[in-house]
Amino acid sequence: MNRILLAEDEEVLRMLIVDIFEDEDFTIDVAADGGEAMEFLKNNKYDLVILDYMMPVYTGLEIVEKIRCAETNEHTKILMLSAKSQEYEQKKIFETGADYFMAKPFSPMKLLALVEDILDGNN
Amino acid sequence: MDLQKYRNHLIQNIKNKLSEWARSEETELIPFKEVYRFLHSIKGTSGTLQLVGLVEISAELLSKLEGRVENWDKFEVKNFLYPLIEFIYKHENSNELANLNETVLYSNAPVIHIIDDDVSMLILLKDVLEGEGWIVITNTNPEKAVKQYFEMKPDCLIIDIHLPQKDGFQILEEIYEHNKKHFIPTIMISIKSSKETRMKAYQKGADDFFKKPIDLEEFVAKINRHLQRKKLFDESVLIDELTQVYNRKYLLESLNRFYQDFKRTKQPFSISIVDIDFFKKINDTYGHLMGDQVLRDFAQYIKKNVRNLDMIFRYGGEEFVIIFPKTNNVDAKKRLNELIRGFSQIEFTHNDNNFTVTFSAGLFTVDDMGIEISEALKEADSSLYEAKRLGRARVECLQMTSNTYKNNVLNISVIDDDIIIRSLLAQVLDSISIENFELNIKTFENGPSFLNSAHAKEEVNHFLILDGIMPEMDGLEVLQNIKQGKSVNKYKVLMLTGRNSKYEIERALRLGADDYVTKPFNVNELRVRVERILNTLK
Repeated sequence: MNRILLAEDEEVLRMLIVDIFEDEDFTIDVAADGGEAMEFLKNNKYDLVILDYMMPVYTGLEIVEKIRCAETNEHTKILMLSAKSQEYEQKKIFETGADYFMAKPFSPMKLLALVEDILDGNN
Repeated sequence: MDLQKYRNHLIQNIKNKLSEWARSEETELIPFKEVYRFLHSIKGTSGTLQLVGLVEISAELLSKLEGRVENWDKFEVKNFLYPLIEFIYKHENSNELANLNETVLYSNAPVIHIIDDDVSMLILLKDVLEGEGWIVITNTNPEKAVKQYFEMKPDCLIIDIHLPQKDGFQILEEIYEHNKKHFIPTIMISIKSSKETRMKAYQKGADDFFKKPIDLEEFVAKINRHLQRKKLFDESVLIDELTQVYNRKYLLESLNRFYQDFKRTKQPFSISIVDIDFFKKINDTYGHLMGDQVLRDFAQYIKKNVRNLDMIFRYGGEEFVIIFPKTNNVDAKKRLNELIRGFSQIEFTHNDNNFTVTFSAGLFTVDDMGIEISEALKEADSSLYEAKRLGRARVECLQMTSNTYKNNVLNISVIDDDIIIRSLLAQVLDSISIENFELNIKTFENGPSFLNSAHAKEEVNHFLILDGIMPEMDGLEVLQNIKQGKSVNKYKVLMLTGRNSKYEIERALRLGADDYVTKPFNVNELRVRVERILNTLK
């Protein structure tokens, strides 16, 4: 079974994302800020990490760096959610090591579709 | 996918954050970054939840934050976030607000006063009559009703005959003199409609009689008719035909009324006699028709350029009197100077000849108990003579130093557990100014915090907007607390109640609330009503 980490500091979006993933065939850990996300990453391996860009403690970008430093995370896919959707911001996100990008505000159904797509490619 | 649940959640989170800030100490600064993050997060989330309005507001506020770094106190934050507060209010009440009557309430709308202890009836009538665009004030208590009648001077009075303590007939007797002079249409309503009852009502001065249950359609039509006639009457009896301002007859009566008010309240008012300069010359040069035109235009100019509460009268010929209620000598002089300057710039045209006209003013301010009202007019007249002597187109006041009037203080408190309503009301109140009153507006999230506050304990006039339903201590308890206190006369209370909470409204009125407004309310309408109540303060 696929394992996902979601790091998003906005409570309502966390709720919403967890709810739309509810019927899907994967387990999900939920972090409310960059610090919690780091804790989860220390102890677990994930197929997909969904990160919000702007978060307290560590930003999404800092977490990407951390993930990409450890070789064991080679197969972990990273999806960045961000309101900073200008091209140079996106470029920076991909250069740091994220695999996917979705602009905020996002459509919940599109997010679900993208996540399914990513995980299908994994299997 | 149904997003409603998440929307509610987001709005609740926003409200929680606003409450948290509102609770912070006055001296505490809210970090700029926190406000930025708050808005940024709303923007990100609201788009996903398809709250388009919220996306726009948060984006706009964020763009205003660009380049700023300073931290703010809670008041600055609240002001800055006002568009957000307004959005949430409209969002949360969208269904009900859409159903509200789209009636525009004008400040000069007729005032209808209903006295009835049957609260269901009061609520029904108020609803229906306000739907017509009229302002409705209500009383269940006859004692209070009579007092309010003299304060508010309604344009139409509706009285139920069967009241506790004092019946409708007794009320008719008490107001008979005033009513006779002002022709205020008075309608009696009663569960009993025997010929004897009806005859008694007419003998005591009623103009009309309705049996309960009332046919509302006919009731509204009749009131409409009464109001039209009242307006015509006011205009014909009290208004000078040529210039369409009040006539001399009404001047003497008004002066007496203002003088009585002054004796009671010690608030000064100013009287000015004004006279058009060289009016005889205008008549001689351009003819009497042109002279009449100048008189008309002059009167209308003054009427348009003074405040609503100021009054202008034609005293005779080219002489007029302006009364500035609640106005000290310095302010009245300033206003007259502005009027003189403004009027002198108006061009009149007669057969290709352009000319301008000026006027002179003599001023007297009643702020000393020693003077009789007839003296006041004489004093103003001597000052007018002085103004003419000194070259015209000026205002003079021979009066010895008059004490500059010190502002009264009015503490306004909004008590509501909902941060949105609190902030909204504070904003509405902030835009109101009441002549001669210094307004201190404070908001409280529950009854005890108000009752224990220094604000509540100050020995000044108080105006409360009080939510009926609150946790811990509800609005009725707060009201009861105040009404049992010793300075009960210093309070005016406006209750906010639910649309269907008849019991609550009934209790509020019985406990002495001055008016009630059902939630959700239309903001502009509320503003007008609050102004109305506050303007009765003396």
